[in-house]
Amino acid sequence: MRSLANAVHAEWTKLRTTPSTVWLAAGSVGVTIAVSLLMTVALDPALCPTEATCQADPPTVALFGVRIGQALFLVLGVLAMGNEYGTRMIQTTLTAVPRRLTVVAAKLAAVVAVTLILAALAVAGSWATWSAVNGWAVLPHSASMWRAVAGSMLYLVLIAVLGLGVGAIVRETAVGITIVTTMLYFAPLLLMFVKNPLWQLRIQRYTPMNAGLAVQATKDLAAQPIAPWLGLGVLAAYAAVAILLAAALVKWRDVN
Amino acid sequence: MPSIEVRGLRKCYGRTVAVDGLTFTAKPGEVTGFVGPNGAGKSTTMRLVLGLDSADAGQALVDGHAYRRLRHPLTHVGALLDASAIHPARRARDHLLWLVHSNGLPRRRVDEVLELVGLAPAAGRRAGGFSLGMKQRLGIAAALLGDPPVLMLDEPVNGLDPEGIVWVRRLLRSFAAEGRAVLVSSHLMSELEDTAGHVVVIGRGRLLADTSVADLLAAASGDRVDVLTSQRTEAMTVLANAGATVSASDEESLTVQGLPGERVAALLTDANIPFSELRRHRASLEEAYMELTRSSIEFGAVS
Amino acid sequence: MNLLRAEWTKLRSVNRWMLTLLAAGVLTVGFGLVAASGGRTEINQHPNFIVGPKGQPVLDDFMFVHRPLSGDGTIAVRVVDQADSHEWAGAGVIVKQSLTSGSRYALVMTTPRHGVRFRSDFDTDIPATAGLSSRWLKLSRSGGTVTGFESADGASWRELGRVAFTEGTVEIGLFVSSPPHRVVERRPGGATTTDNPTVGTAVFDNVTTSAPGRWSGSDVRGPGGYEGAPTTPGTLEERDDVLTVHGSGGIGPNPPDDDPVSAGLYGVLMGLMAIIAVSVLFVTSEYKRGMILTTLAAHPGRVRMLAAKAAVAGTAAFVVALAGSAIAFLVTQPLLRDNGFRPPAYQPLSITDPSVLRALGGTAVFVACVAVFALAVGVIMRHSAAAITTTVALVILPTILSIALPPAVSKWILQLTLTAGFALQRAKPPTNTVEPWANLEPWSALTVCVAYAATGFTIAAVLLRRRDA
Repeated sequence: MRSLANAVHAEWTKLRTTPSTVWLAAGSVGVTIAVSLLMTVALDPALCPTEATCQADPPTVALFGVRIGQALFLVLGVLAMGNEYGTRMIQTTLTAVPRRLTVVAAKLAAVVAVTLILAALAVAGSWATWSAVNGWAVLPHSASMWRAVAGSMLYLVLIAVLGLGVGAIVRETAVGITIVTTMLYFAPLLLMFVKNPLWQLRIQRYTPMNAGLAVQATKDLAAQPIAPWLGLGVLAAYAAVAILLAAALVKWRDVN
Repeated sequence: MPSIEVRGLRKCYGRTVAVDGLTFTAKPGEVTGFVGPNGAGKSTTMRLVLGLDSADAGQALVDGHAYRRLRHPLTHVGALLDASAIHPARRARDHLLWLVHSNGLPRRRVDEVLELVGLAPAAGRRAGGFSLGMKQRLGIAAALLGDPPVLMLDEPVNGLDPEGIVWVRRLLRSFAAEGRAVLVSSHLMSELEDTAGHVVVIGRGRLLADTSVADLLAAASGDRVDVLTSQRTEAMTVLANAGATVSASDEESLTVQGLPGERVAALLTDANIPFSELRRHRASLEEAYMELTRSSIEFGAVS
Repeated sequence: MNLLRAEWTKLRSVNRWMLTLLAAGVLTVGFGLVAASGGRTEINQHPNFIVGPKGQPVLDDFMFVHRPLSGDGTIAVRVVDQADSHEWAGAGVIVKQSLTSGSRYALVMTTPRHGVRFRSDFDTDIPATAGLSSRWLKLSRSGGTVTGFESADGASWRELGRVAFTEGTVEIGLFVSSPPHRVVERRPGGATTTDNPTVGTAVFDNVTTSAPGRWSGSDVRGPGGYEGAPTTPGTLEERDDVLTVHGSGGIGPNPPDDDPVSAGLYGVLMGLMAIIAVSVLFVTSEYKRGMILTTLAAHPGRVRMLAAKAAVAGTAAFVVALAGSAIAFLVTQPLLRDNGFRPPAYQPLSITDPSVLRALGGTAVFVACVAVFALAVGVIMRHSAAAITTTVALVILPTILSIALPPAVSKWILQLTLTAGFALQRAKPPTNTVEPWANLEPWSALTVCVAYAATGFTIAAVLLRRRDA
């Protein structure tokens, strides 16, 4: 599909020539690693003599920064669409590439490619600092650890995709950021208060952030509210719905 | 050679009818002026041609195809609708760069069009810092990237200095001379006068005229004579007494309707009123347009 | 002032913004309802308290060394030594209506870190003003009144407090108490609280009392079976005239940590997001289409314009937040009551209670401060997306961080970020529990919020004057 390849090339050019992208890229990686480092250093050594006998689930500490860094990933995603509408550049874009689904697909591809690299850097960097501070081997040494690391990378990419979808739906950066931020962060707060076990389970299973972070679990898997990949799948579902809805709206709406 | 064809185009926004059964063609080899007052539906028509909005009825075709079906559309049509539809933080060159990427055009086109519009020195600056005129040039540059056979420009001389206006006119005429189809919209008649060979006039979304400029002017001019005289008041009296309708068009000339030119000369000579010029009245596009839109309800299309 | 009216007109003439403000209120109420319907407690079925004389939840466990007393009488004692088993461990003299847990009492006690105190009936707590050196404690019953005294030497007594007490036979004597120790563990995976029982020890001498008979040692005990309940029986050792007593448990109010008021206000966070967006857009819209030039041409005083904007935005935010919070309170309380938040554990609340009014008002002030801060950030960054993200980050992200970090670090984070404002939603006093902002004094929280608003505004004003429009 030559025209799709061209469109992706154009989207990549747009991304790399936007100054805010550079800031967001640096920030998303930097913040994730910094916060992970903070958690790693703050962990009581008595709780965690070796990685295998750690009372805390290692990825939840080592990769904690994901919970904060995701904010910048979502902004990146929202901006990719929000900028077009805010500057009315969407007109130029659709003039150059009139097939609307191609435009959406191209943006999706570009955002996924960029955030995949950034997520890899952020997560790998976090894991490396965890290993370095604790003096353990750098590479994850069990299948479940690899799953947590890889899953966290995918988590961040999905967050950006979610942002892209919402940005296209609301056509405004500020509103999009606000909506996705609340979607993500409200549920964990709610969890603290809601004691009703049925509701707790629902929140942990079906809200994007809680479910998505289930992929970081390597211990007590039977006791977790949702299986790791399944949890990530819930987040993927949210992102998919957002993108599909966005694609439909971009295709059918007038560019006003 | 390709053209822009609009057939029975209709578009409503809510209860407002923006475009109502519009049909015309912008042919290759000439500059077609697209005129109408603000809000007449010019921009809407262009947006419908580009597929940015979808028409409620009718078709808008470029080179016989709907815009959305075109592959590498920038090589078919170069369009400038809104010069400020750019990302302000992006450099001008980068703006053109992603456009060439999007249509698989060679990279050198960026520098070529920048040279053409005279923006080469400013290429590395952020587009947000451009003046209105520079943004227009950037928009024109973008339209020219694909070297398209069809150009569609919405008010391209907006914000340009006189030198720039002359340059645009020359550019458009040369494009037409090369056999391209050029559709230029404006609400200022004067700038189209020297440029356009064909004109499409719309008012309130409807077609008012679709004719060559010469024919339009001739129809508007009618049977009128212009007289240049320093004694206008006296001349007016004499001519009016002879049954003519006289109006003053500027400081020194009168426009006389209802009397042949030779009769006017004879009357003035007999009355000893000096005059220096006597010629057939040449309506300006402005006047033609005023007349058209004033009687837009009764008038059918002049063809 | 004309400026204020101009800015108010600007705000109310943009329908989107007014709708968003309305949405903020709706979100506050709506999500408050969500939180309330999901909140459940069965603490009344599995109480960690006993019901006190006024129907409130209290703890009444301790080791009582007692004799019966009918009519007037006194008891005086010197506390030789008290173990530091808990900062609120108690050792001293007590008059109690009966041996039943939850019955009325008046006592004077020493504590390891809070000096000498007079307490009565689970609702009075009077500290001694004379410092920590007093070791002599006395209670005196005369007629219907019991009075408590302290002394540094056993000769000159200072009155601490008095209470009208029941007539008839009561129990009088010495006591030792040591409340359960609360441990809050915060980890990335979540936070937990644990209550561990503690055992207090005290050595008494110079015990003089007018009550006849011999000392009996009894444990006064509540329902037991809850986390932190005393596990070891109290002991009494009499040797010569020195009594050594071990005792476990606490005497005093024991309300649950959860606050139904702040529970009903969980939606404020959502409303806050909408208000942040409007505040930022209110100022960045001026920059976007060059409107700032028109505005400044009309009123050249830039800082005055900013102040007017801040006043309008802050007031609008205050009103929306107050209304939203009040409605949220009113609709969520019945729901919470149905879910178990009832007496005796949770006393009934009305919107006119001072603590409730303080919570609602404090919440509204918090939201107003955030709105002003968001406005300032909008001026500083001149980019709506960046400003909204930054403000939202400073409010929400610290919540995530502070829940997962150890208490010392958490407290730091709270004191430095806008998350402190959530402390203002509590009507109850601060308590050490899972939510770190539940342990923050409201005044502290208010200071942080106002500081952010004021500092942000100042920086924005300085930048506004210096910059080209």
